[in-house]
Amino acid sequence: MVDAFGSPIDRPWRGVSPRLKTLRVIRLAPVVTLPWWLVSALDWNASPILRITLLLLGFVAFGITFYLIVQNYKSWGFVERDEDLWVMHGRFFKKLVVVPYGRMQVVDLNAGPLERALGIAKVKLHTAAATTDALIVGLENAEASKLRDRLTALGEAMAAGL
Amino acid sequence: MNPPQNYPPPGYPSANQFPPPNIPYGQYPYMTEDPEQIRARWQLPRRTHPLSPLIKLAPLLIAIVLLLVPNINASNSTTSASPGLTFLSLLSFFIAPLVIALGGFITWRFRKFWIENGELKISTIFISKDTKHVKLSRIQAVDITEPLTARLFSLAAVRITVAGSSRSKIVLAYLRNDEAHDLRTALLLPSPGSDPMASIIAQMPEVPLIAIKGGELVGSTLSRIAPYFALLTLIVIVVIASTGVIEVFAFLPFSLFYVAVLASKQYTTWSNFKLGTVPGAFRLAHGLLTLNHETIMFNRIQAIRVEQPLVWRPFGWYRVKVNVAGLGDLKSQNMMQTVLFPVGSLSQAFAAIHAFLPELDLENVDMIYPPSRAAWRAPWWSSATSVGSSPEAVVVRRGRIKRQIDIMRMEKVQSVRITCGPWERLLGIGSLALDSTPGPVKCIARWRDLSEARLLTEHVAIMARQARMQKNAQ
Repeated sequence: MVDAFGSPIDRPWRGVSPRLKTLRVIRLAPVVTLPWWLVSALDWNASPILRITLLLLGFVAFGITFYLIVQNYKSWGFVERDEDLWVMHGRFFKKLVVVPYGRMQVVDLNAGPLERALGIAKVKLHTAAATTDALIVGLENAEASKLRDRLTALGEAMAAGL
Repeated sequence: MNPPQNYPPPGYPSANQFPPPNIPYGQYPYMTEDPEQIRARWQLPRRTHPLSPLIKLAPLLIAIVLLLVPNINASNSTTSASPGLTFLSLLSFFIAPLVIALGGFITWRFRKFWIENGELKISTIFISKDTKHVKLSRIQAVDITEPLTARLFSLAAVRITVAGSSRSKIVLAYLRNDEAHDLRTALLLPSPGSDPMASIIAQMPEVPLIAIKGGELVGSTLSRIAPYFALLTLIVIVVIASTGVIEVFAFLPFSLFYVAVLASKQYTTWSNFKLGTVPGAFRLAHGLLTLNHETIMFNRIQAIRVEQPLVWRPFGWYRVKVNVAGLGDLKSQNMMQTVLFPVGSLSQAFAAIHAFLPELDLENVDMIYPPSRAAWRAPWWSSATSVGSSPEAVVVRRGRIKRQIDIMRMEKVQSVRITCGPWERLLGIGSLALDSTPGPVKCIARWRDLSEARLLTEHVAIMARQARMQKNAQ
């Protein structure tokens, strides 16, 4: 039995920065805690049962979201092999992408304002196929730019014609 | 599976065999003329054929005549009422085309093109000077089309696809038929830095591989629209039966007309279809009113799909589509170039594939089916899906209603993906996708055993690398 989403032989998955969790908590918190905002913002004469239910719902939603964020953070992994890059992610919907360096056309490095504040960035690989979708999120800035430079150099060195 | 007899003819290199490099250019057996002579014919600036502006205007003129005739009739009956209006409308009918005709004439008169220093130059000198330079080495394809009006005068348009720059094509319309073919040869001749293969293809006579009979095309087109028409009829009958409104019946001819227009487009585009090969490329010629000559280079074909819609099954008809690199977005003008073979038997479809992937023996690739537990995820479909691989390609067969065979060329694989949802993971199955450039072919093997999918991924990663290295070494 082979683990379909295991790392390649002798090359363990490299994880991403734990600040990815912070980023996602900050992003999702306003949404999942909406019931709390409703309760506090509206001075309404609803029954206490409804208000408590809403509060509990908010707690549960936050808990679940936090669990999912942690699980997703743990699931990210990538490996640079001699000829290709492997990227794996997803806890429930798993996805593994193998991109040969020779097929890379563009390597994008980008970070939104929140990501910049946290010092992380995402690296995206483009091939001639629109469906490739190889993305590594939550890399530390220094690591991300090093990875980008390495991938670009390797891509140029091994470039294969279409 | 077997190519037609006498294919290729004696002495003619087989299609996948690129011209051996030790034959000096110009001594190639099928080369008829010195490249310099061909080029010399196009060195002087020249205009397109004098009839060009007229032919370009022809559709407009016909439209005006069609509009004018009923208008004159109408104005005759009301002459006394408004003579001024008739005069005005006549004036507008004649002056507008005159202005347009003058514009067409000026464009023709002051636009010249020629080949110089490895560039195609097109200059328009009228009031201001506008010169367009196209490096011959950046030309990707030269297609020739002959619209009906141009065919009456044996004229043809040359359409040039240039890499990179703009997506639109450069069109030189119209030239004499033989001139158009000669210009195509001249444009594809080797210039420093261009693909030497292209120049040889430019001069090679093509070897016919497949021709489609008219009956097959009519039958295949009709069988595709028949179900829609049957459905419409059924709806109309049900409506009449349930409401008693007979007038709904009038809806039928109208919808039939709409369907017929769609079908006739399909028919006129693919009539007289002929597929031939030259070393390293397919040559397609087709069209009833507008003749099209296209070239599809083998090394630009990424993936192939052989498909059979349900209604074609009783007749054993298939169609072949391809992903071609660099077509850009798939607008209607490019859609034509993704069809390699519009309709025919499976052996013809395989012969077309065999012409450029001769090592791939499609009938003897070991196909692996999903595990039986995949039936919990896709009860009816999973057992119709199978995947196999050979050193040249990965083959996926799938479909219960519309059957298809997807072939991904090993050296053209862009990336490999395994995906798996929660329910699939419980069953230990997942999807394996091989990414290709944008096009009609998507190569996805679903509901594979997960360990097998992983092994296949690693296998493809290695095989694709080897195939790429082999290509690079050539």
